[in-house]
Amino acid sequence: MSTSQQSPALGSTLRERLAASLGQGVTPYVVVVGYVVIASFWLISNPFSTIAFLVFLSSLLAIYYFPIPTWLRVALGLIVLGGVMPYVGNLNQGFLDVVTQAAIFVALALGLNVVVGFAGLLDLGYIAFFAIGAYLWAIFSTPQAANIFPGLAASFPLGSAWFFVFLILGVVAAGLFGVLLGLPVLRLRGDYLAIVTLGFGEVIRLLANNLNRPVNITGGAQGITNIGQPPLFFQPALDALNVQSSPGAEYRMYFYALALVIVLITIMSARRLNDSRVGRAWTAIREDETAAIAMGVPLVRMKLLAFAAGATFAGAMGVLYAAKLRFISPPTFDVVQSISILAMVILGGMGSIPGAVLGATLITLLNLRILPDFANQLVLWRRAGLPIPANFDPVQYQRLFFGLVLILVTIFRPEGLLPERRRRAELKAEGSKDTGEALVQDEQNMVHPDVGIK
Amino acid sequence: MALFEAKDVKKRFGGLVAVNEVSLSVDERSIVSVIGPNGAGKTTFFNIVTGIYQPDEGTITLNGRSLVGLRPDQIAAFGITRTFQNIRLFNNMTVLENVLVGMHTRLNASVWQILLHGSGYRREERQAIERGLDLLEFVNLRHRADDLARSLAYGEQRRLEIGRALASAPKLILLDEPAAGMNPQETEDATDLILRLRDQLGITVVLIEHDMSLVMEISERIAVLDYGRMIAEGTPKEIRHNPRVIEAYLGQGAAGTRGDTPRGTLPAQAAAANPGAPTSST
Amino acid sequence: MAVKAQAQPLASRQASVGTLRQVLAPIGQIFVFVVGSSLILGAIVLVLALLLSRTQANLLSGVLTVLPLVIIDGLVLGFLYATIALGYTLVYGVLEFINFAHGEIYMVGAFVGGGLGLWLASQGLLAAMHPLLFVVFALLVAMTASGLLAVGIERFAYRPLRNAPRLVPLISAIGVSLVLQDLVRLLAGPSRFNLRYPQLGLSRRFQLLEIPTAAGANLRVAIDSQSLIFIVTSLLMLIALNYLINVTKLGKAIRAVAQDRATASLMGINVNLIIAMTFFIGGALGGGAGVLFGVKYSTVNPYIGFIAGLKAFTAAVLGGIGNITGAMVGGIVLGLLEAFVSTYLTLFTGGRFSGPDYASVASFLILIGILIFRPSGLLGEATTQKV
Repeated sequence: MSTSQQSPALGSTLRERLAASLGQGVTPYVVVVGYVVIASFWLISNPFSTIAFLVFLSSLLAIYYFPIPTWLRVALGLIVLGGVMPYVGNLNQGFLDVVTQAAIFVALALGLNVVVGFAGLLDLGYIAFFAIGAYLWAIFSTPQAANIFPGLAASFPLGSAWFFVFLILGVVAAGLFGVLLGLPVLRLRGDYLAIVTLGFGEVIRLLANNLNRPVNITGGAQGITNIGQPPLFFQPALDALNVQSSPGAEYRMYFYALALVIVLITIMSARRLNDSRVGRAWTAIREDETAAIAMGVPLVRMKLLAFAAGATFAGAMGVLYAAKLRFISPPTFDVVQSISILAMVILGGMGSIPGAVLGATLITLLNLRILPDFANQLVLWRRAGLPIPANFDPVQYQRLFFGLVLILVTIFRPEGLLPERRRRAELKAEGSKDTGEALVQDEQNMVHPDVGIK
Repeated sequence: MALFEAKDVKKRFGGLVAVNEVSLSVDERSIVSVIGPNGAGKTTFFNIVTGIYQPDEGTITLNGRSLVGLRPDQIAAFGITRTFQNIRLFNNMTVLENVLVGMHTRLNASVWQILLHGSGYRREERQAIERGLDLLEFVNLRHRADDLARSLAYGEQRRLEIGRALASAPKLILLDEPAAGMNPQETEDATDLILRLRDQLGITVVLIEHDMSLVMEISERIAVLDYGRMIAEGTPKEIRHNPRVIEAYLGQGAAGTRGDTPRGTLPAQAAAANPGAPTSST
Repeated sequence: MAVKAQAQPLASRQASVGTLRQVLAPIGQIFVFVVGSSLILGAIVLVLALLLSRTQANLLSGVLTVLPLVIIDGLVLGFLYATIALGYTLVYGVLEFINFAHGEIYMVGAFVGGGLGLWLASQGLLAAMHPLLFVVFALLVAMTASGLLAVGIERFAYRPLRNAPRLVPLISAIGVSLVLQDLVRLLAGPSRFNLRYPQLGLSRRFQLLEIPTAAGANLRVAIDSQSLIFIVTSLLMLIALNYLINVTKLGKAIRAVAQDRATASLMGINVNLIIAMTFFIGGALGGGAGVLFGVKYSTVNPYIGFIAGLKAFTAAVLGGIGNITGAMVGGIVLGLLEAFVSTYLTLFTGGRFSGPDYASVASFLILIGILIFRPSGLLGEATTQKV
């Protein structure tokens, strides 16, 4: 995708390498600005080319990794995401949708990264929190809520202004469910936690699927349609400026902006938490629970906090997702979704914030753009006479390719694409052990052989 | 009144009584050693004191307040921290971060303060880092503050564990074999560090150690455990000549096979014949 | 956590007796759980029926009529989960790794058995075969195929990751699982997406007992041959597995590797080979379960592995993962529970709640409930970390 991915080492070492090879002068500025400008113009002139789109998106990676001052990073980021992308979105709505979708998954991956990457708690039912946010807004912004509160039937559906209240409520509700699930189960060992969270995710999905009887709460398998949209509070301003646009285009841009804002907030929150005493406690728990608790880290409380914090991200995005799609149904929230968010986290590099962003973006692009394009390409090749079996309709086998990508990436880059510093060290140390038959299990024994094998 | 008081502490694992009616009283600003052959229940006793195990019987108090029933993190916050026999650092965190984790109970920032990143929070973090660096200075590791803990040499790792345990500003620190596996020079440094804990920081120290020369040199009092029972307690001089201690160390029981203090090395002999030599492993 | 086994040093004279006891003891344990679970669930259902029969007439007799059927259904489902769960538990015991693709290995077994049946039928050989002979033949072929598949997956997708952080092989396994689903779909083609097993003519029903009722007509409790084959075969597989793990040299090696890989390799055990053998055994059991499923329910599709695998894994955890008997017990408890909820929830709520839809909810809730009170599962041992 980008040049940076072909280099052998990524992460902060990449930044150091780039700094070394480009020097401290104006070269990096010129390269990055040049890259952004060329990629932008290429995409604007070819607004339907997936390759141009990918090159354009990878300019964000370049902005992140090249040794340039922060103000330039912020400025370029604003130009790319705030200027060029919306402009391209007007030319090709599809790309704007893809980026919005990617942003939703970025927030989910960041949230799961807090749970799995920071605190080391394997959560296989993460999508449930997303579902909680989504159903919360879906139920109350449609007449569905009248079934639950027949006495108040007249007040439903709630008006669009309530959207922002529910954004907060989604955060609160998801966090609450995180605590509710966490309280009984966080004392369990790692793998047990995995299956219990998986079960929780399934329970939530099954409830969504079946709670249309005896009282219709969730709409059952048919889901909920005509979900309310957020208020177009800027409409008067647009009218005043005499901007002509269709409501569809406005909403598309609106959701793009909202998703970006939420992503920025999640990135900021995840970073601040990770750099604080809370983040250090999480890492300590991940490294050695017994030592952590002996040093005064309250285990259950910190785990609960990780669980709840991760859940809140998903809750907020769920509300946004429901409002954007205007239709939700249970299959959106099945185990496969939880797993693919986990795959995003691991692909990017567990515990790494840029990794989660990259992993989520890549997998979303893979599913929405790259695989369908590849499938179309295969069809073309078959027409051109290449020996591809006739009953193999590649569009139907995206799962196959997704699975292959997962296997290959984990085998060739088990630490993820942008590993976190600590994890990288962990992997290096483990790699140096004799593979298969690690005779010396404890690093201490290697450092100081005469302490003996315990 | 004694700072720390354990009375008739008992712990069973199935049929085995690992710690049997052990009582230990530690005065403030003193150094007390717990010695005994392999499997005598020393580390189990530490695990009970720090809340990793709950005692079946007995009382444990610090400053007159009972510790029984508290969780390990509460006990740490209350003023007792420890090091581990088989070093348990957070290997993939930096040296400074290890110390900062130890400071967890002394930091007060709430999640909201962290998220809002206000000036109060930033000041607290800055002060924590300064204090952490001071502690590293104390254990002579300041120059390695940004290295990963796993990259430290063995002796440095032991020192970092002590530094991490100091971070919560404990009143009492439990050291589980602080000189195990060290060469004479490292042992001397460790001895020096332990004395400075008391003399400069005013911290009370209880340690498990097999290096008799170290034990005899720095302990004010020594408690001897054998098969979970406390068989003697007294000053180094008393212990050196206590017939029950001599019997325990010469005893008929099978000697530890996994290299611990070999039965047969008397505390007195070890101290006299081989000063400073490591007599133990694991 | 190691594969649990009750190995005691045996004097050579008593060896055979001891062996027999070791191999058969789990059967007793399973029997206890089968009877216990049935009784408890049955009692709950009866109490509820009595309470509700004031408002709903005929409820009690309806409940009683279907009770034996529900128990048999539950047992079949339970043994299905149990047999698949064995594969999870074996691999977990040895590698501490959740082999997420195991459900798909089971699915492949089901397809191999069905494909074999269709091929034999097309060659005209099936008609000449005794149905039981076909079942045995299909079991052997499918077990071999699934076992080899599992070994291949381990070799190419898991072994390179053996020293990676724990979650990484899990992702690889998820990848394998997705690939297998679509690969089977591709190979089967659209016409065979729902693969039907050939008619085997197993229509005999075995009457177990006759209960006289007040109404005059006696209530007959019968079991169909497919269910009987299912239960008997999976019990045989469990006995064979127990023999293998507890008595043979291979079993000893597997236990040694599970306990401590490094030391086992120092003792001259070829760790890679033993891990491969573990995958083979687990995969073969999964494949066998696939054939049994096909024989019993006659239609299979490429996506049956996912949910079954999920439930089986739940069963393995419920019983105490790493524990062979635990996996069986967990499966049976889960199967019975689901059968009871499926039937009786609908019955008791007059159709307002549909039982089959809530069966999974019930099994996950019972999992959470049991883990809260027994954090290591029904038969798992508490592991205390050495400090």
